[in-house]
Amino acid sequence: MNRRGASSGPRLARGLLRWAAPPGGEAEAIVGDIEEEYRVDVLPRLGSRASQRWYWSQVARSAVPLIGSRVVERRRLRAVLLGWVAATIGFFGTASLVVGVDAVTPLPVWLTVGLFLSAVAIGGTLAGWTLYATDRPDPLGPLMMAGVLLLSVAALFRASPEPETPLWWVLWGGLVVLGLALGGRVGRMRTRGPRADA
Amino acid sequence: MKRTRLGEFEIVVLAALVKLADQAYGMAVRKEIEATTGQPVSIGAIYTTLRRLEKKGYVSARMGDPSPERGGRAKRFFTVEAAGVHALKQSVETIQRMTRDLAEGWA
Repeated sequence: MNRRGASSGPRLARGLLRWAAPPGGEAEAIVGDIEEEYRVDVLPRLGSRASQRWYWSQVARSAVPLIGSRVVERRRLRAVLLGWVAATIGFFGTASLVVGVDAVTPLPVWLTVGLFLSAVAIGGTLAGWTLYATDRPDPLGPLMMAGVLLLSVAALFRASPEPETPLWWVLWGGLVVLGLALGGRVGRMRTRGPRADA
Repeated sequence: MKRTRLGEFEIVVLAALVKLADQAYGMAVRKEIEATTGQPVSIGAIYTTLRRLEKKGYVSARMGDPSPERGGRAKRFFTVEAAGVHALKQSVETIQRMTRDLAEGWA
């Protein structure tokens, strides 16, 4: 028995397994299968502590193929790659514009690093967002990812030596809008319905 | 052209489904494979393979009724479709031909 008195497996492990599994009935079936073996066979045979170790080992071994199959699935992978490519193109386009505008003065190192980190943040946001949008269309994923992006941008401004310069606000604001727009476009591609893969 | 070649683990899972007939759900498939092969298998690997076979049209799934020993969760039963039986037969025959030839080479 666990601390809650019910003969269920560790709640955290169950939650992790449910998260790793594909959404819908399949996730519940997977959790139910492990739960059944745990309650009927493992717990009476091994006792509480060892059976909880067994439960965790099952979750750890199952999570890898489950997550792997979700990521590798073609539509999601395509969405993630589109997000990364779009963010990269957006980044280099914006960076070229900045270089053009600032041609008369050398580009500061912090700006180069800042732009790179912004591109990584936007690419990561888009990748995460599109992954969520194609798999679990709930508002929490995009909100979380948008929060991470905005925090990254805010941190960059805080660290930069010229945080009050309007040009950088416009630049990073543009990147944020670009990222959100591209992410939304990829998300809309999903809502056109499942594609009949040949 | 539709691909009918199966991987080794797909063959094992399909064979377990055929053996278990109408009692084929995740944990039963896992136990059947472990008992037959003697190798530990994770439930995640079973479901990943079943999902792939389902997409190929070799397997279909239906939800059962919730039960208390599963914490009120339903079982997901799997059935091998005609295309799955055909693909399994082809793969097994290929393996049999290959191993027969191999045995003749060893003799």
